[in-house]
Amino acid sequence: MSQEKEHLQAIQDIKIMMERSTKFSSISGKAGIVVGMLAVIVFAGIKWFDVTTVASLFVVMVGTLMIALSIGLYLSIAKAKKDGAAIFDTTAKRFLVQFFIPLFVGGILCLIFACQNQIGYIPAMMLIFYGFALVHASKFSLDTIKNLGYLEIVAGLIAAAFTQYGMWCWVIGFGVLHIIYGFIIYTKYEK
Amino acid sequence: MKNFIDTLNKAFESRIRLGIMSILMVNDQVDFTMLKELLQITDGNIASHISGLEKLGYVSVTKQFVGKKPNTSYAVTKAGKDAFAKHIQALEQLIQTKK
Repeated sequence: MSQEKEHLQAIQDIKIMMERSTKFSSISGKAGIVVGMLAVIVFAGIKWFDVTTVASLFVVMVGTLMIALSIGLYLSIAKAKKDGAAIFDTTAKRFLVQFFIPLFVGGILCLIFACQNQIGYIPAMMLIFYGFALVHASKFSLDTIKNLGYLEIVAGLIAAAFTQYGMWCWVIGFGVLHIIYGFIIYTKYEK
Repeated sequence: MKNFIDTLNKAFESRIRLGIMSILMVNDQVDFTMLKELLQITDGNIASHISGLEKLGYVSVTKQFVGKKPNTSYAVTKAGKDAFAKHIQALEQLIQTKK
């Protein structure tokens, strides 16, 4: 009987080692919530001050993205340190590379669209490429972010179909969805 | 009925070897530091198990310099992959037949 337990334990060990050596599990749920709120605040600010010029909208969007990425990175590193994740280097590097490939392409595309004054499609592009980045990188991290990625892509497609509601999709995608998924990740993995 | 216990590979009996093989199965190349961090055991301990696996032809060792630092990385060989897959299969069958 105890032998059977041993075999089961062996299988469990194998599974754990395979996961731990390939997945970056220090994604911070708190970061998701904070970033989501930031997006909502920025959106409210844009509506409140009635920012409509292409250049200023673009600056605000890029600025928000930079701050959001910094928060996400900072809180994830903090979480990795707290968990004592010694392998932050290897799995994190792999995750980040995979994550930034689609994001980088999307960023350049947004820039091209902005230069051609096609600002209407920028929220859609941001959402779609961010979604792809999440789906693509989820193989190297928490499975949960794959679902978030799919939803971001859907929000992006809606934003592209109805460009007049682009900003609303943007705030749902980057604001509301982040808060919801941040909360899910927090309760699922951090409590 | 076939005796599944005979199909279990003696080379993978130790938990450390099981761990090393599991990590190598899902990563193309793994260096010494990463193995140490994941398994949380001493240098000598890893080295002896690795050389055991290397002798069996299950693991290949690559030594090179990254800048000025020597870097040793490990990968699983085709024979190692097959042997480990068989080992897992045997484990699964053992558990299933007991049920």
